[in-house]
Amino acid sequence: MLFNSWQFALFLPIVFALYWLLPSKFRWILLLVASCYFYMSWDAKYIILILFTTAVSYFCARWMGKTEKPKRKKILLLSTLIACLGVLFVFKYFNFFSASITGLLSSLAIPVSSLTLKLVLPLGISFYTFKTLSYVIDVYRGKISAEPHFGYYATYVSFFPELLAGPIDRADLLTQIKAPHPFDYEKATYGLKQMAWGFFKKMVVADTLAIYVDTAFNSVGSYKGFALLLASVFYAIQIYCDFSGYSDIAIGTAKLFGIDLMENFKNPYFSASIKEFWSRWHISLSTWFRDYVYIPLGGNRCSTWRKRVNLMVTFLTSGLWHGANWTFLMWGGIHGLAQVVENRFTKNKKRSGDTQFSFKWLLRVCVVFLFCTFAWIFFRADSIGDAFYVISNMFSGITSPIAYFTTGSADLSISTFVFLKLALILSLLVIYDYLSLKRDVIRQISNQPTFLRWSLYLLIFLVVLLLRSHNKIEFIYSQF
Amino acid sequence: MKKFIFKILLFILLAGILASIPATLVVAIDPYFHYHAPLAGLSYQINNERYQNDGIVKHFDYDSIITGSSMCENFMSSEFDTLFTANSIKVCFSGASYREINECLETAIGTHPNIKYVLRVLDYSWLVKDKDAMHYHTRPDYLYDNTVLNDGEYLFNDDVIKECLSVLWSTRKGNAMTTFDEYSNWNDQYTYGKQAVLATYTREPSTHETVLLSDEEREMIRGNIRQNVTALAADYPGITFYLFFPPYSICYWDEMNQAGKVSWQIEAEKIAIEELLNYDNIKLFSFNSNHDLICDLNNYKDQAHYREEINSMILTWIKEGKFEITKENYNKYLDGMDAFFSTYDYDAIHE
Repeated sequence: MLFNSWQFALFLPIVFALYWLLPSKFRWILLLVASCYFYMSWDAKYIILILFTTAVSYFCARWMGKTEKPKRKKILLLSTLIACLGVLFVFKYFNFFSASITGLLSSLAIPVSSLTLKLVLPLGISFYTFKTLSYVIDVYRGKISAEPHFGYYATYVSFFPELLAGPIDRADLLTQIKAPHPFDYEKATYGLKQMAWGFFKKMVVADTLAIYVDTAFNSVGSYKGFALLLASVFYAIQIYCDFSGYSDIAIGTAKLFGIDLMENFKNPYFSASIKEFWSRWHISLSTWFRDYVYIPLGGNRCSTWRKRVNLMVTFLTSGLWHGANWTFLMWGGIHGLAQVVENRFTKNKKRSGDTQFSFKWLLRVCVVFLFCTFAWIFFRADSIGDAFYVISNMFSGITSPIAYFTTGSADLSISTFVFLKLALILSLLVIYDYLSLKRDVIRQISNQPTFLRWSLYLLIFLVVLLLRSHNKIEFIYSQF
Repeated sequence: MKKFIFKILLFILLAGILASIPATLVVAIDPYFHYHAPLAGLSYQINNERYQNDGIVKHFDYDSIITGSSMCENFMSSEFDTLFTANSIKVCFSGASYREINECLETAIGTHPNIKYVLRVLDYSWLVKDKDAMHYHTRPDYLYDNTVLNDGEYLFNDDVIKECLSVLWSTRKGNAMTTFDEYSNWNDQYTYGKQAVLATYTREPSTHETVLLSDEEREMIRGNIRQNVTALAADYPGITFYLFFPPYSICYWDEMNQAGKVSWQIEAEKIAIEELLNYDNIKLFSFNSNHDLICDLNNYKDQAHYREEINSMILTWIKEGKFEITKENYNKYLDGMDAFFSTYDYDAIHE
């Protein structure tokens, strides 16, 4: 079920009520049952895959915990990696690699029939697979002990707020699930406010922009000029609001149960460098790749060239994680290359004078945003060819600015009313994100007088109710 | 926990009160006529077919209905009313399939059992199609279904609220409500003539083949006509159904000829005619034998769409019984079609 659905609106209060009515020692059972129901409401049979991944990782970690032999531990770790990544490979990457190899062989005049599997990509598979892998690797490294209770572990893997699209929490979530905790009023109310902001970002901003993005990107050849530029910028905002909106709803939902999930976004489009962007965007995934790919490859503690290779491998792998398509690899490669170049030119410079909110800082922020928008074109486009078409045609006609802007707006059916609506909702978004650079906006609102606070809550409610998009659009990251 | 529950309930109460304000505005003005007919004294602008037609059909007062695709959009309800002594509405669905138009008629007859006349076009472009084919990719289902559970999409919709405000603003300015003569009418928006038609038509090379209907296509036509046209005629023998094949221009037949599908098209029409003529309350017309009409590209803006004057002439011809297809004359009509369209000098169109 989607977060923004009537089913979830019924599901959550019921689970919330039962959770706090139950004694602490039984709450994990409710969470586990609820999480299974949540997942099976999409397609019941794919619960088997989560069960398989959970069981394999659980038992391998347990055996790892019981053995002192490094070789056996390594075998168990490798077995888990092969089993869990194998499932991910079959469902997500098999057809891509099969088609790519077939294409390559065909180009070498070696006729081969492509073998494809007719499989649906199970929701959340990339997320829960990486969650279990981080657990097993941390057990292997001795960072944590293997969880002896299968039920607690299964609840950790399947915890419904983050099951479909993260955050990819580490094993400290397990501690929270196990530990008895009383109802925390402040945490619960904070969670509700965070959910409200998440719904605003998803239902009002992301789903509204999706209409224009899909219009252009689903038929790129029909558009030129400002329409393509606008669609690209809109997509950069759409994917941010869609994904961070989901994360806010997930984190806020978990807070209702007294559980803190890891922060996943920290105003990434206010980053003054690519490196900073990746410390603020999809934090749970970028730290996962840092801890389990980049650092094991050697990280920073090797030669400059090796470090650059490590960066590229990490970002290419990250691109591939997002989807089985050359466009995602290209997107990852662009970011990897950008970091390599950025590191090269900022290596010996101490950044000074770029205080936050200075003009120079603002300039950097704009440059980083434009770079990210450029890279997102590859992420959104159906093919590399489409992406290059967008890039090479987005400034077509710009020498006649008035016609450039008016034609592009008309192509995307952006009337005056639509323009005003977009200006309003994007202004709200920018103001909130800007304010939250220096403060916790939700906490600050909570400290305001009652009348002002409640007026804001009701205003957000009204904005979401009336300005939400009426097209039901899936969360973008649930397709990964 | 009690404090938390109390605040949740208080928020729900306040939010409900707040939400009732736009909902009340929408229910009261109801720009898409989902709940009631237009309020007297307000100036409604009727300009959104797939959003307003269902409401018009359910809540307006009428005894006759003009419906179909864009081929019907330039009909004048007032002319129909004068000729047939009726009180008609015109609800067209641009590009609609037979099924979509039939569903509209089912709703109309279901809510207005005293309907006397139905005037409807039978587009060639939707004849050889699956009986359940629909043109639109999205439709505001919350307006078409009979459940209130999804009416939130209508009540809490910024576009609908904007329409409500437009109605109020239009009333304040003293504008009149859109008439059915004006509704969907595009006559004055286009240029007509040979140049305009040929600008929209790309002549493909001739296939030098003759394409015939397959058995599957024949069954498809019968299924389409039976489910989406004759079923209502059978169920409501008291209603007179004036149906007509639209007089597409000679350019349309040029395209058919280039594709080797003239016989294909004529046989498809024959199958449809034989189904339709089984019902005494179906009066069927075709103007393809009016060669002066279809060969004069000054009557058209593109291959198929004719100007408003043609719609007026069609009404008069129907009233007078001219160009009616009957059991006695349909074979002669079809033979005439074959003779004309198979031998016409299509190259002359492009000179």
